[in-house]
Amino acid sequence: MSIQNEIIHRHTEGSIFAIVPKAKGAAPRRALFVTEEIWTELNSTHDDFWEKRYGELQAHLDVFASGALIGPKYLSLLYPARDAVWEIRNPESNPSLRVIGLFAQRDVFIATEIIRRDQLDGWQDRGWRELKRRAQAKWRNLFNTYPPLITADVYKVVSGAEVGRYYKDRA
Amino acid sequence: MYTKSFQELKLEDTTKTEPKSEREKSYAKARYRNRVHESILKFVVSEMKMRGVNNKLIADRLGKDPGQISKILSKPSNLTIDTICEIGMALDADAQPPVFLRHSEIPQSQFAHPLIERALGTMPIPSEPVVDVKRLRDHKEPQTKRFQLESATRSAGRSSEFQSIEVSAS
Repeated sequence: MSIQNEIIHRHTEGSIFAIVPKAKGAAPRRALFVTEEIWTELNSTHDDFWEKRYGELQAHLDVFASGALIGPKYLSLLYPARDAVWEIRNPESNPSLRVIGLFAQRDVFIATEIIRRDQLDGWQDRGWRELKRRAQAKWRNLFNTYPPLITADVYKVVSGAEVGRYYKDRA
Repeated sequence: MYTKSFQELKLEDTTKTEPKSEREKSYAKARYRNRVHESILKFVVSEMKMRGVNNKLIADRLGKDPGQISKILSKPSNLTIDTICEIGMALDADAQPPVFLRHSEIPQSQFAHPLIERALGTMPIPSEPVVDVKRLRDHKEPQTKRFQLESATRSAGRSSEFQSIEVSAS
């Protein structure tokens, strides 16, 4: 079975859910899938503050799903590159939210977790390592025999990316 | 308990008297900011490529620091009507006012990522192990495409709700 078929299989069984742009006329030009935990969180009712935040997050995820221009402030590869864990940043509002995940292939992102940036310290913070471990564990749980796309070249993971620095080699 | 799913919250034509939800409002505002930001970035980038414009030149023409221009262009929320106008002026361009389109007038795009098409049930899962993505992308139905959206359902005993969107092929 190919990774594409595996993704469809996971979607059919309800392990992952497709996020499509919500607005009228917007087409899903990139494939964005989220885990059940994210789907549950986004579909639950929250207080007004978090309803606003998730509305903004939804618009932010639409940027990826609709194929809009992406820049380094939007998408970033976490150090080290070999872990293949990326984050979609949403720094516009407070608290800033990060959508963590891995790429199955170009323009196909599997989001494993949403986390608040203020719950993590600097890049060396243990929280980031735990975050990446959880993301990789969820990936293995979903697609055990298929490795994610491992590259620091943003053009190999998304189409429509601006010129910029998407990865900081901290070695 | 599940309420309206991510996909079920649609920006529908308002015939109801109930107010828009906080989520709908914040989504619409954030989406508009993102689209305006993208539009401006694309123009600035094209000017950079065609005419060799850079942030310093824009800053000089506006009497600002290049860092300010970078900051203005870095985030959608940093753009205001005035800064949009100024950037246009610096690039010898005229920022046009926004255009409103009724939801009923917005055409549905025909393209969808092949995996999304398959996930939403419009494409059969091939029996062959290798997927020809290009073939799937080029596949077109003669008349209409039907997308079926499965809303959130994981609780035992809860039936799935399907929502169909008719898309007319051009």
